[in-house]
Parts: sequence; C-alpha cells; structure tokens
Amino acid sequence: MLITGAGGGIGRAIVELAVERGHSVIAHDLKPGSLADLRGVETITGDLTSKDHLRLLGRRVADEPLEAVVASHGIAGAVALADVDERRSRAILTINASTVPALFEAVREPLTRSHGTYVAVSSQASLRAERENAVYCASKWAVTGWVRAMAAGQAEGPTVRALCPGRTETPLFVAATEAIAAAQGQTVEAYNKDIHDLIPLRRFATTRETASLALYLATQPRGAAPTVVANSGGEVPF
Amino acid sequence: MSPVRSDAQLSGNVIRIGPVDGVVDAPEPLCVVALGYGEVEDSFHVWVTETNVELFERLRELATGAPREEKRLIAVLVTEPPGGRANPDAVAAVESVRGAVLSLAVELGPAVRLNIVVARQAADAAQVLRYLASPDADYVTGSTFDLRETA
Repeated sequence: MLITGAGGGIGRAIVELAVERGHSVIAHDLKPGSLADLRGVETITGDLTSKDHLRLLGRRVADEPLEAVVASHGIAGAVALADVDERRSRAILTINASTVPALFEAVREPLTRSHGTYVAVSSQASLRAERENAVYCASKWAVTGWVRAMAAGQAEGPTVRALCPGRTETPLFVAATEAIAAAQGQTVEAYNKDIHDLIPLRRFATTRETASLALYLATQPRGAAPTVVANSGGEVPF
Repeated sequence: MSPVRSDAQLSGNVIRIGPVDGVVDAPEPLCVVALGYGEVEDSFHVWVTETNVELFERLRELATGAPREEKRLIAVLVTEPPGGRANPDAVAAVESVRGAVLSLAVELGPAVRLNIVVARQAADAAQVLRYLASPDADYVTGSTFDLRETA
C-alpha cells in the first residue's frame, strides 16, 4: 500500500494504522525528514508535482502487488478572494487537484494488475460552498468530481474512491485553530465551542478515526463500499 | 506563463478565458466570464488548475476592484470541455468552477450576485444570461444553471 502525505496528520495516522493492521506500506511525503520516525515502512520523499518524480515512483511500485494507493497529501488554502494571488492559488490547485490524477496514472498499471483501490482524500469542502475558502473548494470539488466520473466510467482497472473528511485534529488544524482564536481575541476553548456547535457530534474527528475510514475504503473490493464517503461528524450531511 | 492566460480577452462586458466558440451575449448590467476548453495534452491540469487560476484573477478584479454604487452582477459561463460527462477531466473542470463560484457567492454577500451557467456551447446560454440580467433574477445568486440537463 502506497500512502502519500505520510508526514502529515491524516497521512501519518493512515500509515500507523495500516502497519498496525499488518499491511506492507510505502510511506511518501514531500519533505525529507518528515518520515524519519516512522517504523516498519519503506519511505520515499519527493515532489508529486514533478513528472520525473512520478515516473520514479511509478517505477518503484511497478512490480509490487499494490493493493491500494491512498493519496492523502495536500495543503490548506483558506483565503478570501481579495487576498488571492496567482502563485498561491496555483499551488493549492496543483498540489490538491492536479497531482491526484497524475499520481493515479503513475500507479494505474500495478493497481490494475492487483485489482487494487485508489483512494483520494478529498474534503467536506468538496461537498459544499465555503466562504473565504473558494480556491481550496475549487481544488476539492475537482477531486471529488473526478473520482465520481472515474468510478462511473471504468468497469475495468482500479477501483476509485474519495474520502471527504471533516475537521480532523491534525497538528496543522490545531495550530490553525489557535491562530484564528488568537486573531479573534478568543480563547481556544471558546472558539472551539463555537465550531463544535456547527457539528452534530460536538467534537472534531481524531486522526485515527479519519485514518480508519481511509483504510476501510482502501481495502474493500469493488462494489462493497461507496465511491464517495463523508466523515464530518454530521457537519456536512451527505 | 499560464497556458490559458494568453487567451483571456475583454470585449465589452465579456471576459473570455480559453477558447470559447461562438457569440457570448451579455446584456447590461451583467458581466459574463466565459470559460472555454480546448484539446490539450495535460487536460486536467490546464482545465482545472490553470483555468481556475485565471478565473480567480479576473473575479478578484471584478468583485473587489474600485467601489461602485450598483451591485455587481456576474455570471460565469462554462462551455462544456471536450468529452463532456464521459470525460473525468471535463467533469473535474466543471465541478472545480462550481466549487469556486458557489463559494465566492457565499463569501461576497449582497454586494455581488454571482451565478454559474453550464452549457454545451455559448450560444445555448443566451436566454439564461438575459434572465440573469433582468430584475426578475434579483434574488438569484449562488445558483447553477446547467443547461446540459435540458438539452
């Protein structure tokens, strides 16, 4: 199983859970050093926006019995339209959206041979409109739309699915929460309570909960799990 | 340099991004941003990433530029990319613009009315654009008019 974004909160949790459950894992991330403390996995670092790196990655897994690829890499992108700049919007769209079908092409052959599954970790932001988050929404709507069309159009080849997580307690999410609360002159507790009130379950997802659903989607045979699943605590009914 | 930037053209109150076939009719006070998609090698990247980068640039200029007294009225016209709904890259292109436009409609509030029209070709959208420019559509924002469903 190849898992990208493995240095980050959700990706790392997927790797750890996959290892715990006995899967053979290749963990991928952009940043050298971000995978140094992962145990029991092969690690690869590189830039998924680079065609050369995708070719290398494809060659590495070409002869593997690849049961699944979980594309959980990505970057945050909350920005108001007035503050959008070309460089930032291109980065958000390229990393969050363009790399998803590009990675799929790089691993399509071994995944097809193994009757494997390609899981794109999208977002609850792909299921609704969000203010001051339009670029990120554009990137995630693209991913979920692409997954749906791929699933509908190919009877052969890898199974393709999307996971749409809600607010998950990753280190980046916690840091962002603290920054927003401070900017609004609130305590983190008061800010979180306001956000919890938007979520029927009144809490954020743990990384393990989100990882668990990703692994479920990655390991179910075609027809045994939906193409798109939300994990939002009810914040975005789907 | 963006592969779609060079195609961005302003004509009256119509901005074209990418190759848009046919006449785009934008009755005052409506401003239309018309998106077209040609056959390209890396279609997902060009249609999703590069087209949206250009769209955000144009919408930022239109929606957050110099203050105006009247409300801004904008329609984003998406002409369906090659392959239509059978092509995952084309689906992603249309969905990405919907995600962008609908989110911006929520963000920009009453100062800007912003809608999206999806059509097989620009000419198919003429009636809808006339409607969106009329007072009858004053409560319509953040809506998708998908004309492919009625074709």
